[in-house]
Amino acid sequence: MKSTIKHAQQQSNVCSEATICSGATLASPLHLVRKIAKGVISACVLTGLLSTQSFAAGGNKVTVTGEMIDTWCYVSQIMGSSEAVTGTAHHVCAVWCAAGGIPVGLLDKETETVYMILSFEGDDTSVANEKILNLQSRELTVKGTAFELDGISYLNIDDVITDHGIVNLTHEKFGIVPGFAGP
Amino acid sequence: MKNSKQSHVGRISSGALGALIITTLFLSACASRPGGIASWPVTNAEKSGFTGEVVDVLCELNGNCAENCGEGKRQLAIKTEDVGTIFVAKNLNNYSGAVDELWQFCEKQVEVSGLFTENKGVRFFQVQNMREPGNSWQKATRYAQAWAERSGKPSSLAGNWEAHDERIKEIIERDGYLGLGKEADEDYFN
Repeated sequence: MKSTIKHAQQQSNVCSEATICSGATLASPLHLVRKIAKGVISACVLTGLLSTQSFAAGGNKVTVTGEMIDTWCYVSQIMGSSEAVTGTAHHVCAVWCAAGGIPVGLLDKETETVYMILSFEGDDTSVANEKILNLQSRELTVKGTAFELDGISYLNIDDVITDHGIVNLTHEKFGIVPGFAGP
Repeated sequence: MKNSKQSHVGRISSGALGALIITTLFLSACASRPGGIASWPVTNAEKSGFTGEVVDVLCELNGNCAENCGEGKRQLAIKTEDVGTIFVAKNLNNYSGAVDELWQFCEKQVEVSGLFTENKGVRFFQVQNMREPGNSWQKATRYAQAWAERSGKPSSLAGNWEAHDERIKEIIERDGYLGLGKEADEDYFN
């Protein structure tokens, strides 16, 4: 993958240099200039396509609405049922786990897919990211790129479209989970 | 008399050699055997051990790679030859992930043992013991010390780091225990 980036960057440099060249007024016959320009345009288009394919392989642009959750407790149910370890009941524990570097997930409200968040608004810090930490338990509508790798769904969040706040009032049904996560 | 002495020395030598062999066998057995895998009450728990390369998930997915797998800032996985890329979500400390255990082995082979848990369409791994192949097994508890170093707090507080973490204190102070604000906390807890 690293070599792919380097290769794409090299292609990109060649393209920009060539573009600058094509902009120069050459004292050559007109048809030669046209040919060069065509070649440059083709190379740029081809490079662009190759770059897009290299970087977005497997990724899908998505808009998702869901809750920011503590994935360890949700999947393992070590503190209680998955339902009990979302929302207000589990808010403090969710903050603990996010601060401790456990992957934060976005639980898709419609499909119940758990997306592991890998980047947030251009920041690739996905371990104890302070912005993410401060969004635990909140329902968000986000735009981003979703990936799947060996059975796990991942999400790069590009933009938060709407922050709906904490709307999952699970403490009314479950109390505080775990019980010692209260005052 | 001389023969008896020689035989006594011989017996001692044989005994010492035997003890040495047994100790060597014991130590090599300890070095090659995974540390015990603790049972945690997690859904669909499966004790397991495997070897693979520590990889940065973002780098695997879209070629966005960072030096040393992000040096603790990016989620990591272990890429195996037989079962693909295994996402590692947890270590052995309380409320902490696996990245502090793994990132220093970025792009290296590690042997790990621990627990899989599976539920809601997700299957990921809790690393409990790890080593570079051929080295001694280590408990996956590096997070606690790393937290103490990062936070500047004494390592004696790392056992329940979550109670002493300034980031967490600030969030609870601002949003309350329910996340709904101080007023909601007062209504609910009093």
